[in-house]
Amino acid sequence: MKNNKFTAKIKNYKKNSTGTIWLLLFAVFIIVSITVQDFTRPANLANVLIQMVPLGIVAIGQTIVMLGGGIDLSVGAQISFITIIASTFMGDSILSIIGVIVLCLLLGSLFGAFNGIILKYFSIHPLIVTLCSGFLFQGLAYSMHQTTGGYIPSIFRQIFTASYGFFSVPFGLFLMLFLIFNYLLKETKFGRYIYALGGSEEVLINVGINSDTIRIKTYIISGFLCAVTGLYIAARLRSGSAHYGSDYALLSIAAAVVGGTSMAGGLGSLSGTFAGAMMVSMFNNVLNNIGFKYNLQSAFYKDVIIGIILVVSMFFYRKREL
Amino acid sequence: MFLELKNITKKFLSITALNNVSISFKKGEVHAIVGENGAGKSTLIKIIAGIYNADNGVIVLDGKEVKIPSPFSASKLGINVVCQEYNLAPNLTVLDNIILGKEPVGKFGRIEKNIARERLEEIINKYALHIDLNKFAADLSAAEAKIAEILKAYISKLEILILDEPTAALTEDDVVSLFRLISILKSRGITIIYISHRLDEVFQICDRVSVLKDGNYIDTFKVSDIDHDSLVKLMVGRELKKLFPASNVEKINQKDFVLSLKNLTDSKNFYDVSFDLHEGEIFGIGGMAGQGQREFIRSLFGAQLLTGGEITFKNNKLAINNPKQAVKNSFAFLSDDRRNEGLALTQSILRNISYPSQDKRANYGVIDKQKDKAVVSKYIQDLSIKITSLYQNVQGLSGGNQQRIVIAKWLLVSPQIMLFHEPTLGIDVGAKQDIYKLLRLFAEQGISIIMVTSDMLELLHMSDRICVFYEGRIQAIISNKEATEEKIMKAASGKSINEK
Repeated sequence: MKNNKFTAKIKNYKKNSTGTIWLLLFAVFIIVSITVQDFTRPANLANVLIQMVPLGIVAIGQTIVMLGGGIDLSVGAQISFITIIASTFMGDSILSIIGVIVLCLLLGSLFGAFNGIILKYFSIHPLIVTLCSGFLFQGLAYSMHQTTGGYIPSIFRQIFTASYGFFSVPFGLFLMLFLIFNYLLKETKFGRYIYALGGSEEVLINVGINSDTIRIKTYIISGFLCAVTGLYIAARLRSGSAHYGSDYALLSIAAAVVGGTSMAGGLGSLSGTFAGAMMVSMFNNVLNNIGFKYNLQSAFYKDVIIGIILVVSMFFYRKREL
Repeated sequence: MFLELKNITKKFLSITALNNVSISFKKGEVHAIVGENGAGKSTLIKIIAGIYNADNGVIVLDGKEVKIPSPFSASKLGINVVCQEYNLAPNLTVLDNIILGKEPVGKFGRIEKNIARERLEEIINKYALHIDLNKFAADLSAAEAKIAEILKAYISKLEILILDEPTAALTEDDVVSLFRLISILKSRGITIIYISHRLDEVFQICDRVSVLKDGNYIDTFKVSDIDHDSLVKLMVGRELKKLFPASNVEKINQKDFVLSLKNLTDSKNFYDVSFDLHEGEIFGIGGMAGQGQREFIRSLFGAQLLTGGEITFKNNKLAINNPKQAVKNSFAFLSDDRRNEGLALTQSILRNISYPSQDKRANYGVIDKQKDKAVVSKYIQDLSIKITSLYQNVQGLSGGNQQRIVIAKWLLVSPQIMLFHEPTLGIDVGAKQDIYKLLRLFAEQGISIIMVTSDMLELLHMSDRICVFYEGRIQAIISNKEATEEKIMKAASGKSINEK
């Protein structure tokens, strides 16, 4: 039976170690505060929080998909596509803004459902399915818009990026989504079933739960959150582009895994992902602060450094499980 | 009759797994189903549990004909199965596993865990069960996992509980508490269908026993009306005494020592293990579970590290730090975890047998396929392994055939010391006999064998000398002539074998 795979895997299961990542984050924060000039300026700290928002939101969806034993590589293309839809169709009237927001959220959910339904009927590995659907969404995005551009009304940008000191609308939005989905995962039946799906689908089926429905729902959540992220990015950059989302597939997986989510599913938490996204965002900010943003060459170095730091931090507290 | 199976037939392609089988179960009885592997026990219970659908025949439950298309529909009818395989989500706590699919829900969709917990704790306290609801299922011992699964069945509708080899991985103490739980369930009118290789258990806790052989129903007996040997005879058509081939102990004792162990220890699980091994001797190691035998035999093969002691092999001191060195010194090791450590399950028979010795048949790293095939085929014939093709996957083979494939793979490296850990774990009675014959044959050819086993009969009848571990040390070494079950049990519980 299928469970043979588990006998080996079971040995590696450990309790969720969310505490470790927050501790690590705190330690890095202290080190960075001491060593990097200007890092602790309130304006910069508020900036760090805002910078993490798009990654944080996508990573919530990615974590939920991964907890269910899946993976979503199409998030980047979905985000890009949404920025293009928003920047193409949004007009100045309130009605048009709300209409486009609703359209984007529906479209994102639809993309997620598409992934989930393909998975159900073709039973192909989610890595392949979402890689392919990612190409599909990316292609659609390019066909609508070859260059960066479009129009975003300034009122939409102003509302979506407003901030007052430490408090900002984007971070507030993230926090709200985090709390809602954290509750969903931790306290409700649906949340339990996502974990059970990632742990052992057979067990879930045998108690009479339709596991396909649960899986499709996780992808719909991921698609919906991609749409939110896409709208935010479109608002912040006042444009749409088929490139805007490219980094997010791998970064969201990194944030989830650094935060303790198992690639095999069933283990992890949103709180860990929160810390993971924060970590990535903090490194990004620090590297920008110490001068990695001024020319193209050093931008590449920045990626190299972030890559190394991610691997090291994963090794640091995940070595037992791997 | 509470549950009746009538004329059940099930075919897999051209093979008939069950042929017109009819069995009836009474309410509140413990009913054993015995038979060799391949006799159809597993197929039968999988049909009752809704995992397979019968091609023919009907199931009558409580006077009504029922259809059981899936495990979920079975559990709705009150039929629950506790398989050999782990059937809990490893990443959820025991509590979450038990209430999975039946969570009580309060305001805002919040699961009311406390209500469920209180209810479960009541049951746990009432029956004095040993289980921690907060543990992750992955951290459970085999016994706790069984209890959790039975509890999971218990809190839903439970009329019929099917236990498939429940004691396979349990220690003696755990078996006792499992049996206690079974009798509690029985007293509450729950029908238990019990599958086990261990016939003494059948006599210990079952009311009736049905025998299956080659997919056919043979008969049903009250356990008080039949004895152990006649039951085995019905299952396999052989008597128990013929199960174990005889050995010539005097002749073995005259032979030279090939391996000498002095004060071996890993500083954690076993200490001061010293003995000498004759050429062609079978040296059996027994004792309760977890007394260091497992770690000891694994360390001898370098699968775990030794921290002290001396190994002398044919007058040379050996350092064995990893399996590669062990193989180089012509040691072979057959793990108790055959499916993970003995075989590459998704690979062909040919490759599995060829792996450890394939360098011998390679020129500049390229394997001579003709030669490889010829050599492997020869050993498959010698060991009479039943296969349809060399390229067949090993995954689907029976336990006995799988074990013979592991043996064949090691024979190709011409071992002088063979280390067997649970040589017949998960192997049916008929195939066991063949494995025993092979062990004796190897010993006669001059291979020395160290065998760690938890099977008392095997230990008693196959070993030329019997060594009993207790708390990581050798408690006694008993010669084949003097050994009795009583002496072994005494040593295993830490007493002197001559103590009255």
